[in-house]
Order: sequence, then C-alpha cells, then structure tokens
Amino acid sequence: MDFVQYKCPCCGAALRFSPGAQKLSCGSCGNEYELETLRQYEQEEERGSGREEEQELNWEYQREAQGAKRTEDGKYICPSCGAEIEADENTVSTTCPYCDNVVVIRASASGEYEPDVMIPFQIKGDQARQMLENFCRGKRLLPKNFRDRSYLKNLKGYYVPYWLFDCDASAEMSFNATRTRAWSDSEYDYLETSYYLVNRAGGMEFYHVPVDGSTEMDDDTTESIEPFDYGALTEFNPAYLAGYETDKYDVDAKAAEGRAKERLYRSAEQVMRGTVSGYDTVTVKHRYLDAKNGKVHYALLPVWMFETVYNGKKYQFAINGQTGKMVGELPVDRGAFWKYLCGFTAIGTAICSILGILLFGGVL
Amino acid sequence: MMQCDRHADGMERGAVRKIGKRSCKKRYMRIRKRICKEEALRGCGTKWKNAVCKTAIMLLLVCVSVLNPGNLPEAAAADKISDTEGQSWDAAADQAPYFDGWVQDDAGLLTADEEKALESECRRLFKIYGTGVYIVTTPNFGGGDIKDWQRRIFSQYDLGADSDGSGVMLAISMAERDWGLVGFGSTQEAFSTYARERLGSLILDDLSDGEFYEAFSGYLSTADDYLAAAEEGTPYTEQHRYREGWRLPVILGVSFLLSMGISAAVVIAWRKGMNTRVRQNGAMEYLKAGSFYLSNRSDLFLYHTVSRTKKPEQHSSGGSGSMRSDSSGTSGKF
Repeated sequence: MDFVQYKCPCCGAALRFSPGAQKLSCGSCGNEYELETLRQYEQEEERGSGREEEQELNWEYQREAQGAKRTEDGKYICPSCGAEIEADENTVSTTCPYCDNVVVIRASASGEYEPDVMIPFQIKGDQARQMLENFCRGKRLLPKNFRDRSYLKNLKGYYVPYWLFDCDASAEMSFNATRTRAWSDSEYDYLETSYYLVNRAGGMEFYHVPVDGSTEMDDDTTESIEPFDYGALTEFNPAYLAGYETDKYDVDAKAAEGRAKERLYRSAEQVMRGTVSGYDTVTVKHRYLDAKNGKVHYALLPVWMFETVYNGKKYQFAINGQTGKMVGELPVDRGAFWKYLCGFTAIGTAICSILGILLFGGVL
Repeated sequence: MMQCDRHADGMERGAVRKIGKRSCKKRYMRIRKRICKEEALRGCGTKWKNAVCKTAIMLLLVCVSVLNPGNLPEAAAADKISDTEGQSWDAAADQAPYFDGWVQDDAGLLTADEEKALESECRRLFKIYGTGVYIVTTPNFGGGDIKDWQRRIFSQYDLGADSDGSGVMLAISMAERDWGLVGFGSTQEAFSTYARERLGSLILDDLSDGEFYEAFSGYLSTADDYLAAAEEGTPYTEQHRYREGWRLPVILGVSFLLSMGISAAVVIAWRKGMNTRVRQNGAMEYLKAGSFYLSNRSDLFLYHTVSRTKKPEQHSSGGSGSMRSDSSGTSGKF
C-alpha cells in the first residue's frame, strides 16, 4: 500500500488529517485543504514537471524537392537584345541594363526554388514613389541631400521570398492567481489574499505565419509591412515577375521555422492567458505548447524597397506592394537633431524664465 | 532698591540712545517720571514710597468701595487706557508688561543670558537707526486681536517717545499661541505688509518649534536689514523682495530643465518617426477565426491569508502659517 504524504501548497510543510474539520490541515501556517483540492494540485504539479515547455514540430513541405537546375556558366542572355546579363545564383528575375527588358531566369525559379504561391503587385511604382515622397515631406531631421528627391530613383519593386507556416497549436497552461479583498475596522486595515491554481487547455489553428527567406531583407522591415491579404494569393506564375526584381530564398525553411514557432507559441500563450479573468494577479506556473499538422509554403510577396547607405549605415524603407503599408527607417541628420534640440531649449528657457519672473518675481 | 537701580540702568540705556535729540538730563527726568508713575500704579517703589502709596491706595479703595461698591474695578482702571473695541481692558491690563527695556519676557521664554543678548542687540539697533525694536512675551494677552493689544501697550507706555512715535514690536502670547508684529510711525515704511509677512514666515518655524531665542534673534537680524534698506530709500516690498533672489536661479534652472525636457521629447519623437519598423510580437493576425477551443478549464481555490495593518493615528496638524495683516500690523498663530 502506497503512503501518500501531501505538502502544504502555501508553506511546503507536511499536512495532517484533522478529524474535526474532516480536512488536511497545516500545523505550520494553519491553512486547511479539502482532499480533492490537494489531489488535483498534486496532479498538476506532476504533469508540469519533467516536460519540455515547447515541443518541436516536423513541418510538412508543400512540394517535394525536384533538384537544382542551373546553367553551367551562370550567365544569361537577354532574349530581347542578346546582351549578356549579370545575375548571381539567387537572381530569379532582373532587368536588362541595355534594353531595359525584364528578364525572368527560369532556371532559378524552378525546382526547389519555385514558389508555391505569390501575391502580384497591386501598388504601382508611381504610387509608391508618391507615398515615399509624402512620408519624407516635413521630416526636419532628414539629411539635406534627401531633399532633392533624388532618393526616389532608388525605389525598386521586389518579390521577396517568404515561408508561410500553417499548424494546429495546442496549449496546456497553469497559472498562479490571487484575488484580494480589503476592509477596515476602527483600528486595523485588513487584506485577505485568496490563492488559486488555474488550469487551461485548448487548441487553435494558425494560417500562413510569414517569415522572410532572404538574408538581404531586414527581418524587422519584412515583419513590419505585415499583414498581407492572403485572399489575393495565387499560384506562382513567372509572368507576374516582369518589371520587378526577384531573389530566391537563401534562408531555408528549416532555418526560418524557429522564428515561426516563436511567434505562434507566443500568440497561443496570449490566447490562453486571455481566458483567465477575474483575478488581481496572474502568473504563469507551467506551460506546455505543442503543434501538429505543420505545413510550409514557399511564397513570393510584393514589396517596394528603398535602400540607402548614410554615414556607413544601411537604411531600408519598404512599402507593402499589396496593401500600401509603409515602414522603414530613414537616415537622421545628427547636426539637425542637435540644432533643433539646442534651439528649442534656448527659446523655451527664455520664454519660461520671463513668464516665471513675471509670475513669481525674484529679480534682485 | 534693587528695582530702582535696575530702572536707573534702564534710564542710562535710554540716555545713551538719546544722543543728538534731547539733553541727557531732560531725558533722565522724563523717563524717571514715567517710571515712577508706573511704579505708583503697580504699587512698587522705594520702601517709604511704597508704604505711602500702599496706604493711599488702600484708603482710596476703601472710600470708593464704601461709596459705590459695584464700581470698584471700573474705578481702579479709570485712569488707564480706554478700551477701543468695547472689550474689558482689565484683563489685558493685568497682562500688560512692565517695560524696563526693549525685551519684556513676561512669559519666561528666555534665559537671563538670552534676554541680555537680545537687549544688547536692540540697543545696537536703536543706536544705529533711532528706532525702538521691541520684543514682548506674555502668558495671555487677554483675547481679541493681539495687534490691538500691542498698539495699546505701545501707546500706554509711550514707547515711541524717544523716536518720534516710531518703533516695531514683536509680541508672543502663549495662551492661544498668538504672535503679532506691528510697526509704528515712520517704521511702517520699513515694515510694509510684505516685509512683515516675510519676516513672519522666516521666524514662524522657530516659534512653532519653541525655539524662541532663535526666532527673536532672527527677528532682530531681519529688522536690522529692513531698517537699513529703508534708510537707504529702498525698503523691502513686493517689488523689492527680501532674500528671495534665489528665485531667479531657480526659475532659470527650472525653465532650462523644463525646456530641455520638452525639446528632447519633441526631437526624439521626430527621430522616432524616422523609423516605423516594429518587430512582430506574435502571430495573432494569422489565428484562424473560430478555430480556438478550450478542452479544460478549472479554477482551484487553494488557501487564503489575512494580514492586518494598524491604522496610523490621526494627529491634529498643529500647522500654522496663516497670517492676517492690516495697514501696520501682521498677526497669526504659531
């Protein structure tokens, strides 16, 4: 016969059965517990211990790898003018520098590099340039050489390689929660704190969590232009690449899934946490996150990019080519920053001082 | 006899401050006459004078009481000062100090050494400015407005006689913890309403803390500054504040910090506006609508604790600082 020794959830001391109250009582802190409460508490403790908090997930790729296809010398001839086009191994489509014809390099955009889906551009180049111009207008800290709009010529349309992750996530979480009640009498203020063990378990589905597959693209920038409207997703068609630059991915799905898992597990936790209400404090005690039915899609998504180097630092500005959402970082003129800071401080000091003297006196 | 010597000393002090105004002899006679009159009223003096005075007063009282017993108090106080506010002057007169100098400590707040030091400082001020700077303490001034009581005793004892009716008096009454500061004659120019209230604010903490010698020393020191400024034609007023020059650097400092804070907030906001990139914190936008379900939901009560904290006792704040001013005086509680 197994002997079970329960410990007090409050102070950890051994509990003894109190025949009068028909409960287990703690001789150390004086709390009393129902046997059923302790049994559930112990079960939760055992379930929470010895398990990895986040489970690894085997993602199922949407397409099987078909093997790489590359030309032997890695050079391409423009079908329009016959000129030799420079292209690196990641180039999928580019523009001929001689005849300005858009060239799609099918060899790269096929096989394991051929996207499953894509969203065609819906924002035109003129619109994107106008958006960027409007954004830069009134920016007092923009360097002077940006005022002549010459930067607008650096705006280019890209199809950015993304990995889209689908999965069914499940979560089991337990929380330590408290409720407090306060009252007073003539001499004392009282505070009663009630402690609870809150358990939640459930599941949810995530659809097309995007992670960019290009090292050239800044992750902050590509995440900032989300979300895309997946209602416009279409089968990959090289015809859509005409007029835009396209790179194939250089971050494979395996390398990208870490970021996807991080994002969807965090959201699963937020959803579970949102179901715990009516308490004054809630802290996570145990969390167990799992995902199954994972699928990965390779997609090309449209982005207008503006990139420049200022004082040795690279700045990227991006416009979602589908929704028009603008994000990015523009360079800051340090001289202008300090000029405005000192100027405003001097003017403000003078005005406040005059007002202060008029209001409070204090001269001589 | 000792008391007479003491008064004689007082007269000598008075004689010193008389330089340049009247002859020492005239002044000696006038002050002696005043003191003797007061001594007669108080029933004190030399032994033979004391005996004669006592006998005369007793006979007078017996006669008056026989003739009109109900009016004895009024008769006794008949030659004293009239009551200006309709209240009984008797009680106040009982508390009226007997002046033998510039410091009259009837409430016994000062040690002999302290009183001597304050007297010495008052004498110095009189020599310099020709104005009496008085300190009066009393157990109970009798109620009403302490400023009126100060004006009565200033008049009763003719305290401004040596200075063309000018002078300034700080009075403390311990019964209701009243204080009053009244300027008389030309001294009112030096002790404007602003100056009196400023002085009050400077000494009020010491008065509240029972640091009476420090308060009186501060009063004399400040009075010295006020009188010096008035003599130079620049008395302290709302436009010419007393020892509040610190406000200018404080105003400048606060203005600078405030402006710099606001400017920094504006410029940093501009700078932040140059970068609109925000890394995503999750994937909530990709959660399929209606896909969430809960398979287990339990809220298990474990235990509760109760803590109690004793309430802080309610102390009545003995705060002071309210001041009432009229044209020549300022008073309040300490």
